[in-house]
Amino acid sequence: MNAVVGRGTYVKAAVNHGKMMQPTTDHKGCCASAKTGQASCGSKAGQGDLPTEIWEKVKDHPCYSEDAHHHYARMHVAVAPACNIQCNYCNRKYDCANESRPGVVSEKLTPEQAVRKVLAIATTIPQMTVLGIAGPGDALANPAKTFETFELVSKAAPDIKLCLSTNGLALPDYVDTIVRSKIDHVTITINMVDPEIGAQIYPWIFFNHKRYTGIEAAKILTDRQLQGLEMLSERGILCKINSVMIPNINDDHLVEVNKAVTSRGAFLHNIMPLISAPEHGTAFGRNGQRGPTAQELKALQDACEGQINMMRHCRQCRADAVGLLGDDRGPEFTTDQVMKMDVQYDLEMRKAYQKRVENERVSKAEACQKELEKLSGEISAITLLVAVATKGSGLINEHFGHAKEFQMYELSTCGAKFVGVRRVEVYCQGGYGEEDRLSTIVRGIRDCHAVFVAKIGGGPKSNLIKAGIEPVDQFAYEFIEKSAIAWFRSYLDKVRRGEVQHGERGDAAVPLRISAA
Amino acid sequence: MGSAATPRFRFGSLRHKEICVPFKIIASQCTGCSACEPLCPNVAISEKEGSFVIEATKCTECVGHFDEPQCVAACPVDNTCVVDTSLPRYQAPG
Repeated sequence: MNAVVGRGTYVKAAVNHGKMMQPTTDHKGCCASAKTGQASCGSKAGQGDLPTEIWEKVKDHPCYSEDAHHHYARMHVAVAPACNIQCNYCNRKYDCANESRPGVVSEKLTPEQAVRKVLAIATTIPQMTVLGIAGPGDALANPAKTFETFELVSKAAPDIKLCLSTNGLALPDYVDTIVRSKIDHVTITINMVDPEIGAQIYPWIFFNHKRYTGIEAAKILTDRQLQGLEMLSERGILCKINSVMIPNINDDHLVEVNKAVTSRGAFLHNIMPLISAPEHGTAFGRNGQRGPTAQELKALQDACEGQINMMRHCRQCRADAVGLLGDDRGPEFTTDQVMKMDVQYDLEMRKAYQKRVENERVSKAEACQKELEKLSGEISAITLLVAVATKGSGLINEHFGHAKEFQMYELSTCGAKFVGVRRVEVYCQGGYGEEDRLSTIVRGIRDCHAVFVAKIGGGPKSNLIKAGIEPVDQFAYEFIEKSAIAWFRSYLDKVRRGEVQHGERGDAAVPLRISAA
Repeated sequence: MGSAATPRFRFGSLRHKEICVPFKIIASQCTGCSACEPLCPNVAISEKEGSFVIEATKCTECVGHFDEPQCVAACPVDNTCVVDTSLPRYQAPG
């Protein structure tokens, strides 16, 4: 599955993956291969195999820890409007409050306004633990504003973790400043390590007072990115690599990128689907370049998993996003509103709140572990996907009709593994559902065997059943993983007793905008 | 720290240089990203109502400083920093 022979391999791998494999006598309990086998719960609330000093850095960072993203929030401040490269998937002129994708913001902030906003949000949303600067241009193409903001925030709110995102072109020049500023997480967007491929993604870069184009530009960019990554790794800064998966341009190549960044000490690799529509006005949008399907994306992520953790919970958020990853509260905090707020930064209140969150995480992990133990005797080769409607905290606590996204879990005798997110348009608008939207949602989760919800109306319920997806509401407001494992055990029982014929679900023909996980 | 990335070369005069042309920014296309502002060797660029403007009398097309006009090279929108044909061409002193 790892070997990439040619295009389409991933798709085949994805299909095979879900299939009921030949039952073998030695397949017992959890699969030994770490490829797809890691359940997301563990005795230490998500720590898994991580060394303690690394876990301390990521345990409350929603982007660096999948487990943390159910409980903790992040915010971006848009203090860095300038960029030093041009990407074919980016259009800097576009700004719409309803649009969620990187590079998009509603208003620029000065460092002083940014700090004010951070303090206001830290007080309103005490589970906000991370401040990132991710543009809307490039954090390091605006070094004065970026580092001034970090300095002011670290003085005013020393408990908040600092991180930044960059395309890496200027990175080697600022590694020492990053260390001095106590930034312990850096995300570098690396889409290629081959300049010929890079030339199809980056029309130009601006470097050393000169505009470079084509292969020459891509060569400089990749050299600087990899050099910057090595320098950060040497200094113990955790690096996440973002890669945009662009079918027929870098999809196969991202396996090479994965190896290159892994060998240079990257901590996490986040392969994201290209977001591309003509109305975005990007070069790729205009020339009809498509994004990958959900299955192509998952297959590539699976192929890259092994040596490095793969991030699958990215929401490709805006450069001014606020809140839990799936729930952007940015519009509540415009500069006007923030300036009017009376803010008293209360560190004790934040600590007390976060203590409660930690207790909740421990209960969640214990419940999951207990349920997992019941599964330990099971022998089955069945692997299937389920969708979960949640508002956060690791609970099944969202109504089907109100869900803006579904979290995807892969269930097997290894347990429940988080494998991604599917965004959907909200089905229920003002109390009544719209049939078109409903069928879009059903198509969007067609590869699932069940959908877990806090509540669901009669209409959607029968539509789901008709489509072969079981609506499950008996675990309302309970922990996701524990419930999913409990349901999976009863599913296996039913299959064994012959009450249910286990069959494969089709490929979810997910429309582009919905597949943006 | 910004100065390390954007060294500003200060030459004594442009006397020996050819005639230069003032640039202007087309406001309707400017994204207000500010990329050009710190790059201008003549400090001719400033923000005005959300977009950026070039002070024509200060613009020297970067002659004597860089090989290409910095605002043009860094601007993310093509044909946004353009030659201002309504103004007389810049005359190097001398």
